[in-house]
Amino acid sequence: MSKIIQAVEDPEKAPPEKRRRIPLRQIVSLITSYASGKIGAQIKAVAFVVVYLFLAQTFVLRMPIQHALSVALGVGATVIGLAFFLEGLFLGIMPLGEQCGLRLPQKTGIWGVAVFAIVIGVTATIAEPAINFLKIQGSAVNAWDAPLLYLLLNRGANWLVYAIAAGVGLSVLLGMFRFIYGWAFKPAVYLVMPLLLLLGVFFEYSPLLRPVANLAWDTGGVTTGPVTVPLIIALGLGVSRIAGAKKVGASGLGVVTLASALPVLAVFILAFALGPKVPDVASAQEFFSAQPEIRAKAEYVAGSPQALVELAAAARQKGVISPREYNNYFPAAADTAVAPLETAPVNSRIIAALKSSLGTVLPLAVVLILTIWLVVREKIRETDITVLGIVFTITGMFLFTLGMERGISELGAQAGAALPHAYAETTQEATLVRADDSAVFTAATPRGPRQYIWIQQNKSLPQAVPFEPLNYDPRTGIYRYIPVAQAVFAEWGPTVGIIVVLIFVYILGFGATLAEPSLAALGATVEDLTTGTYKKSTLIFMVALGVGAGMSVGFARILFDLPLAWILVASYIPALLLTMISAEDFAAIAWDSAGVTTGPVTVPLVIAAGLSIGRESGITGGAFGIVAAASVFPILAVLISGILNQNNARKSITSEVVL
Amino acid sequence: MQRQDDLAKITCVVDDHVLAALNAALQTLEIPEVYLQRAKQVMLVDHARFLGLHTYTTPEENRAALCRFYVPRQFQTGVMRQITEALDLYLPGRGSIYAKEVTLLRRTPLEFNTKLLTELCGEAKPEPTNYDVLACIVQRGAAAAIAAAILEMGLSVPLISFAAGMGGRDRMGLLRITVPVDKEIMYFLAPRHDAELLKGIIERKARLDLPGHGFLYQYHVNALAVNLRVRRGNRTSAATMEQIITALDQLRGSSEWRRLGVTPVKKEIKEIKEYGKEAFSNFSLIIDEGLLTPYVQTALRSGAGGATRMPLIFQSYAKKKDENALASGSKEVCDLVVPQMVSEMLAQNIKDTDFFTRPEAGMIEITSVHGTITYTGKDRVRGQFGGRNLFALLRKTKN
Repeated sequence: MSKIIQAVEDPEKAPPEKRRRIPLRQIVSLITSYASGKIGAQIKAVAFVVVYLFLAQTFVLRMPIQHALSVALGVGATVIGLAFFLEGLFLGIMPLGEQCGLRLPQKTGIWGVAVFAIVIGVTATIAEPAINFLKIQGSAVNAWDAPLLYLLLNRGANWLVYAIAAGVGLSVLLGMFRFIYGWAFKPAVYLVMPLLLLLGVFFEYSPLLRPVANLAWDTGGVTTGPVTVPLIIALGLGVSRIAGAKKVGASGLGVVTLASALPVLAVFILAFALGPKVPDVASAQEFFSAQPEIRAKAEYVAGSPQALVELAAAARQKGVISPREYNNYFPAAADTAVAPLETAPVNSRIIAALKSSLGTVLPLAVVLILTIWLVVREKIRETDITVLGIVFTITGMFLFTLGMERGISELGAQAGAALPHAYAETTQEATLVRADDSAVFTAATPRGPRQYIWIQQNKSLPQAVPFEPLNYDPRTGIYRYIPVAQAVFAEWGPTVGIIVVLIFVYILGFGATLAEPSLAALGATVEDLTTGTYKKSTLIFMVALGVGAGMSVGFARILFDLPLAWILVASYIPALLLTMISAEDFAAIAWDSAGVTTGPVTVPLVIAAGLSIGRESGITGGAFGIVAAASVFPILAVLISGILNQNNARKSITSEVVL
Repeated sequence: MQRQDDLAKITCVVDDHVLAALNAALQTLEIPEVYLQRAKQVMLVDHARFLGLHTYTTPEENRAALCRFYVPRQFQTGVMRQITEALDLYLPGRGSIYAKEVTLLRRTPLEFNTKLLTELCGEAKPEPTNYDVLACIVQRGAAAAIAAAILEMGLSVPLISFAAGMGGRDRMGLLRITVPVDKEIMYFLAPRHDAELLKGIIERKARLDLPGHGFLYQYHVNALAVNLRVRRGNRTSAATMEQIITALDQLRGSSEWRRLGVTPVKKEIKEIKEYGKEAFSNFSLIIDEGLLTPYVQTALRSGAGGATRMPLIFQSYAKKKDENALASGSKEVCDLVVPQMVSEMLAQNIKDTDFFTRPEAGMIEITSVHGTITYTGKDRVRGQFGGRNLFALLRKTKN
């Protein structure tokens, strides 16, 4: 017995705890059950949107799925990538953020926190891959239609990123100060949002600034991406816990809201600063005209005289300006060739995805690790698991990026391209057929007499198609036949088609949100903070309902060319009113959910569908505004659900008597 | 290190809506250290639809807080009474309050404004224990079913808190990520005569006879106000169901009459080893969040078999702040139940570390535990209380 007591009496002398030897079979069983649980959860998250896109495209829009094998592999990679990514966040990035948040204020005081907050905010934004999606949207912008927007998305893309980074940095800083000094969350919203709405309305009435306002509102949703959001949440949780129980704003949430709002303000300010330097919105002819003042401003937009020439050459190729106009405007310029767009080979896509994943995760992880080592001067808790978490995050992001591109985004792009089919006639590739005058005949139709022409394509039977005199050349006897596909819902009229599109995007938004990784991270945090009284599944469901509604409104804006600013005013005012009657913590959850909704699953789908419809409707300035609309409706949904939850909870301490 | 044996730990479980009133009451009493644990209270809600033709019952979870603080033992009853009145805890659904004797090991002793406490609460001899608290640790997600069963029987209002497990998992290397760390800890406050029945139900519902399914321990407390609101819904009577139950309990002298069709659970499960007759102690190590792990590992090496950690929010209401009081509002508590015979040794081993000397000094709270239940199969290498060697030790001591 004495031996036993000695063995346990002196823990220092006792042998270090031996690692438990686990048989190989048990190891395999442990890993299998762990991996199947994580992957199963992601299959559930992704299944809805994949099945929906497949069914909608095949049965409603009646278009076959192209590259089915590649899409299936892509979806598989997305599922595995999401599982790795989320697990990596929970094991590596979030604990690192929380450790910094917990220990930094005690070690360095308020100024240390301030510097760290700015550094982490700026690093997170610069590393954020979702910003690239804004640039992709910029490819649809014409320099003469929206010169300021063109400038910001092309030559000034870096200025845009720096402005957004400054906004996010300031948001994280203010967020941390809010926790330390116990500032309430609601006043911040009352202060910032009305200011943004006012600026938005002001921008709406300036043709030059209007497209930038749409971009600015979208940056709010896009900047807070899958790595930034969980990190900011973890950091906020850490700092808020230091503040203790009595502080009002100590729930740990609310920073994402600021990180979504202040970048919008930063872009507004940048637009104000650059506005005078760019020409007004004008026709392409005016934009490229040789007038010295306009030419100087146009060159500023393009970046250099040579870049302006290239821009003009591209416009000439599109047919926006004629070759004669081109030669008039740029007499000295040679016939500049426009480089065709090339599809990147698979290898380079893999390398790009790997680079993007490393570039997104590593800078943030390095900043956090260095802060803990050099500033806090502590060991990283559970170093082995943290490192594994970072590796998981990078692997997950790599697989997820690659998989999204080949899988869900591809499905979304196919469905998006097919969307205008629902409500509009779509023209297809023209074919030249030989015909003569005798083939033209007039037939009675319900809309009066119409001319038709008999044509025969290849070896198929002759068919009568509507005759367009302009497409017929009597000298050569060649008729240029442009097949027109009827709208899928043509029988019910265009309104039904548009309603179908809006319902389609509603369900698309709903389904894509279920798979959003940063929303899953926020949901887990909220469930933890509320000890499970507000479930992760409830939050995700409410947010998904909101995103669906927001996306429908966003698409309706494009289809009917409605002003974004007024749509936002009409939706943010009820949100502000509901915030007043909502509890502080639910308000923070609701406003934060706005920032996390639009992540790497939703944004590519929105852009694919939005660009297609925008192109069809002839809207200038791309598909901006959908993300902004999709960000505001979840606030309303979560606020309403929070208020109902609050009212229910209040009943638990009151008596209900019905006599 | 200072040892304080003359303290009582008061635990106040309140609905979140009552928390502001509790803060105000604690401020009035200038309580030097308060530790708040986030939790939820579960109750059943009766719904009636279609003019009462369709009725159904659902469980409802409401946010609550488990607030623990220490007072000198002579003020225990007075402080509890003061808080009960300030918070109207006699009303159903608002919360419960109970006290237990405690020993604190700290770097500096806790100081109280005894003059104020005497003035506001008055000194009194502590009341004897009348209730039992059953604390049951289960896997995350398993608590809801157990809570529903207890609520259906109307025995107690369960309080559930999130926790994380420590112990065997930490010796698995990187493979430990495959073992879920998330736990739920349930607290049931029940009259002493109901505790055995309650224990039996929890044992069966939680399947504590199977390995890795959980752990239960029990301790005696003196309760002043107990939340009896197990269900709510529209009522048509002048008295609440809780009032009727309380009146009948008092008339019958026990709650035996409530157990329609329920017979006490017989101890037939062989695998369960209950060391109810042994004396156990609950060691609660409290320190700044993030600093706990090495000390828990020391405790585990010293004989504890498993540990449960929970985040706490710290608040001080003392006017004169203790210089040694920690700046951080974020703490962590780790509960370890160990046989009393090794508790001194465990305390000594932790004292030998820098637990009490580091700038963010920690605190140990020791309370007595009167019964524990868990699976301790023969093939298990390390038992809940320190492995084979400690069981051998216990058996020898018994003989």
